[in-house]
Amino acid sequence: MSDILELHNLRMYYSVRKGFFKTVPVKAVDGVSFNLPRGEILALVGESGCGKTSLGRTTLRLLEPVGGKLIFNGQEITHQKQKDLMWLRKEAQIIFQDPYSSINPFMNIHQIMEEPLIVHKVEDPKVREEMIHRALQEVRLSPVEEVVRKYPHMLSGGQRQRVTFARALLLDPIYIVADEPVSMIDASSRVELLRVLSNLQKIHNLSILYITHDISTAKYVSDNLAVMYVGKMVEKGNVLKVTEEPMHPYTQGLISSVPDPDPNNRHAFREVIPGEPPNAINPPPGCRFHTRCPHVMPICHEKEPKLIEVEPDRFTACFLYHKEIVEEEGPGDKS
Amino acid sequence: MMVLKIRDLYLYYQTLRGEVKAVDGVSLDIEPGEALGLVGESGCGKTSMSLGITRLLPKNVETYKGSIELEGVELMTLTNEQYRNDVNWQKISMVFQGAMNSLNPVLKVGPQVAEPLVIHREMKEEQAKVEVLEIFDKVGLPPETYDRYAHELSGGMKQRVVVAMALILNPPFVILDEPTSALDVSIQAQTMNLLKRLKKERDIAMIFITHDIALSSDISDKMAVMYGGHIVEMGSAEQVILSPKHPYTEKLLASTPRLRSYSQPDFIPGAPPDLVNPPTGCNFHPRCHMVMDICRERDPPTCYPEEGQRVECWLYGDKNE
Amino acid sequence: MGFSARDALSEFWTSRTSKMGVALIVILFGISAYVLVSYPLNFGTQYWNKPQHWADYPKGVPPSWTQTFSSVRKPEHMILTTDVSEKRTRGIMTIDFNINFDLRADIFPQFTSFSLSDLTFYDTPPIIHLTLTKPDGSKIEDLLVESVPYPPSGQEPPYVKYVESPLRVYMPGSPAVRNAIAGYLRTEFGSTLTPLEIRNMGLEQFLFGSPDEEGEFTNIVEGTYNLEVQVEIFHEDDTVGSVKFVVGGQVYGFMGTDTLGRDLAVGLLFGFPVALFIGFITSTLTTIVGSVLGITSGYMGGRVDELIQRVCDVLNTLPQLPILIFLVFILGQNIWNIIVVLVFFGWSGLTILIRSMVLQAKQEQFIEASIASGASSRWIMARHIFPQVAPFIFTQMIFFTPGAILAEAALSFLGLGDPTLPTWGQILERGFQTGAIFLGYWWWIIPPGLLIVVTSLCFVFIAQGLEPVVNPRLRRMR
Repeated sequence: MSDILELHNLRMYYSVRKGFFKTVPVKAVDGVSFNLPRGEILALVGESGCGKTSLGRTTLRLLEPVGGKLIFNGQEITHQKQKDLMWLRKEAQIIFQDPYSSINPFMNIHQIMEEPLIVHKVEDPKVREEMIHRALQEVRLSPVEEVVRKYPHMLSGGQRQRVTFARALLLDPIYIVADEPVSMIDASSRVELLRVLSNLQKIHNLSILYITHDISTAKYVSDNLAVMYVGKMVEKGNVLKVTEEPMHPYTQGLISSVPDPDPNNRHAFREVIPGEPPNAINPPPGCRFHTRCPHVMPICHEKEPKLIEVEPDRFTACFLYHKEIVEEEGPGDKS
Repeated sequence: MMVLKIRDLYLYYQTLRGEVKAVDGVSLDIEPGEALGLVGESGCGKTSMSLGITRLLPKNVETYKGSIELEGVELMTLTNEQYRNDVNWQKISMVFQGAMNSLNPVLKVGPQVAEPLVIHREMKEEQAKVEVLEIFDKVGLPPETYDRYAHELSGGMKQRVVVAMALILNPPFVILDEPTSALDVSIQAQTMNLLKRLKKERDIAMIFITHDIALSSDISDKMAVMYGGHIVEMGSAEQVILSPKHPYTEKLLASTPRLRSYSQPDFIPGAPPDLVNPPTGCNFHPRCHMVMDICRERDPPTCYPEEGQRVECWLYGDKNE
Repeated sequence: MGFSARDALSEFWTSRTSKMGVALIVILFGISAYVLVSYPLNFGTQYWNKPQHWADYPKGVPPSWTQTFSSVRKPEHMILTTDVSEKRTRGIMTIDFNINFDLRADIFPQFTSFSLSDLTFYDTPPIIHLTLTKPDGSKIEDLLVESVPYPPSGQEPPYVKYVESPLRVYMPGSPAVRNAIAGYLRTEFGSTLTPLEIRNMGLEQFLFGSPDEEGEFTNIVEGTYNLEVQVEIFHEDDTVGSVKFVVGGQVYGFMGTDTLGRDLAVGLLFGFPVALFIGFITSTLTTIVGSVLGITSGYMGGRVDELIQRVCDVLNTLPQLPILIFLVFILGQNIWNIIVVLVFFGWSGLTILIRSMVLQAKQEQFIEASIASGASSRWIMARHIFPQVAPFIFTQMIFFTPGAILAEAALSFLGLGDPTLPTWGQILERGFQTGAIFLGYWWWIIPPGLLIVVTSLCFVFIAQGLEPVVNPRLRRMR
């Protein structure tokens, strides 16, 4: 069985206007390669501007790549036109972050869930109703007859997110992008929601790209963890291993920045990554992290490290781990 | 002497649906140089607490009573004008959530930080600038920042500007309401380090409000857990985190994912209480895993299971009161 | 977000202006419904613009109720009809009618006229004789002697005439009457006034007055007058249906008359449904065009957006009124042309507003969710964007209505209105043209103006009441 996703040096830039005639490209995703096998949950972690959100949407072709190759379940979809991608809109779904704006406040739950079914030509209203009921039951929103008549403002944030989960399941997808699905939910309900997601994944053998800035939740949901920094993937591997023994200096800095509940925290200063992340319009040459890296070496200023499998199933893009200097293949990033 | 002594603070709002009991009888003490972490989820009333202490009341306030003593002075009996002239920003200042977005976009940043000096100390602008540059240095901003506009600064730098603005008149007490929630994790860590340093250097007392109990532990000496308008547990950080007494605190800690250790994460079923129609008896009883019959009927008493630790829960009280 | 229609209604109802607006609009609709039921739709062409229809109305007189504020008694308008006749044969055959009426006033009536309807004759056409007897006994014999004209050759008896339009003699305009009066004055009072002088002085004072010491006919003879109508017929089977004598009053009706004799109350009444019609049709069309283009422009973006926006820019820079005048002048003064032109200029403002709302609505995540599930742009615009801007559109539509009413009134006032429809603007225009202001005919100017203002106000009240409902920031906290 082929992998759900294959990304080969994928690049996605979008344009920003600077002045009346000039536009500059923002290199949101700048050469990312990885595979997502069937049934795996990959957590994609990074701070704002790292490109994780753009990458997630690009895998769904909600954004069009400017370079590289994107293969979904064996089919190349890098530059296909939107009207030819209706099949993708069934197989691949997205769950959004904000439970207050990801469902239309003017429509009731039934109408909200009916929409994808109508768009994909499920003509019979009875069949639609059955599918909706089944999906709502799977996410444990009951009693279903009452819920479908309600309007979004009558549900809590957690319940609304369950509706978006259910909506994503309706067309029996094989791949779901979950873009910060619990960031706007209360802490005490987050784990509950992540459990629902986890169960759904097991039942339907879904592949999930779990995008989050909260590295702590990644541990509980995902199999693997990938870290992004300014458009590039800098580390990838098993989630427990990466969080316990991070290899890339950025990952290390990220992990040390996140506190666990511990009364001793207040007595010591935390180790932080100095400075600010660079912007994606003009990233620094060489390794993008070199301006803030505590272990910077001369080569880091000049050459970009590739994401290399340094140990079995452990990828990192850092010269600290490369035995020899590997030349960049494909289009250079000086363009 | 206590910096802040609050007794029986009540703050109710009038809304279309009814009266919202946002702060329902809250008392707390803060010593000089002490940080109190006020922890709670959305809708628990923690933001209303900060508004109640700083008198930034919205128009539909129905009830506002209690006692707030700041450095021995009773604030509730002051008129609005007295509060504005003598207390606001000089004795209490605040850093609110998204404060960095409330910097005036058409003015340079420096003069905005200088404004409290000009207003309250009647300084000339050149004199004020000297003080502003000094505080910029303390918060780690380069002096050029004085002439920058808000949109030219990054999120982290804007947050430092706001912190500088809060400290410019050297108040003994600062309220910070989710000051880092809009920031990236690495910038958040930098900001927390900054706050820790300033707290130590200037001996500032503070209330640090957040929904993230892990973040709260990064700076708080004392912690108060808020639920449904009440402080259900308060104690030292060690007490609250290592030996929580209230079932809600227990569950809250259990549902916080740990990065450095592996624990089975937990959650609290149900949703926060409706502050217009709170449950009878203890607000938490519908979701409590240790609920008893009396919890449904009567409000729990304030109990002191350990020295310095306070809980509102029937598990520790005399049931036959 | 999260309020129901009921909350919206209760929010709307909290303000007094909304209640006033609703009350006024109910009244407006009520009157319009009554008018549509009671009057024919072609009232304008069929009656309003036909001077013959208003022949027997007094010209340029104030409303009747002004009498209560005046010490001067003005004669009421009297239309006296009778079909009761007596056939007599005393040497000549006559059909006799008798009309009695009371006159009590301080001012002479405006005019008199006589009409005869439903004549059938077999031989020589009849001759009509009128005799007026004043309350003081003074009699004007043969005040009018009128011969019915011979039927055109080729026609066979019976000759039927004056069924659709009666034989009418406007007494002040009849030389025969003037001669008769001259004779009467000479005989009764020894006056030497010539018929021409009588015409210039006005007949009414001689018909209804009596001379004072100086021979001036300034006193009105009050009391019961008798008019005897003798129709001399030449065949025993000749018949006459009815006769009518009109004594022109100096006041008339609820709103008075204009100089053509048109009952202003009727004209103004007809203006209600016309104003509402123009207002609603124009605003509905403008709203439809404006919102469709606004939603498309905002959501589709790109070149479509640019194009529509540039068109809006051009339309907004054009000076509206001169072009309005020019277009109506060229296309013709027809109500549909006026509506088309008003819509043509009205939509661009709304498009720009809607576009900015759509640009914001577009950012919502549920829009992205719909796109991700494969929905087409058209679907999203109709199902997601439109419901969000719909309340605003509705309010704007209500705001447009008074604007359209005022625009039409303005055009009519400038003489460019549709002449077949009596609108308030038209009535105003006629009044100004006739110099009603200088003549002091306030009842011609003030009511239509007032009606335009009040109608516009009632829509403004309602729109104001709706604003907090659609714009949450303005909502009143209770």
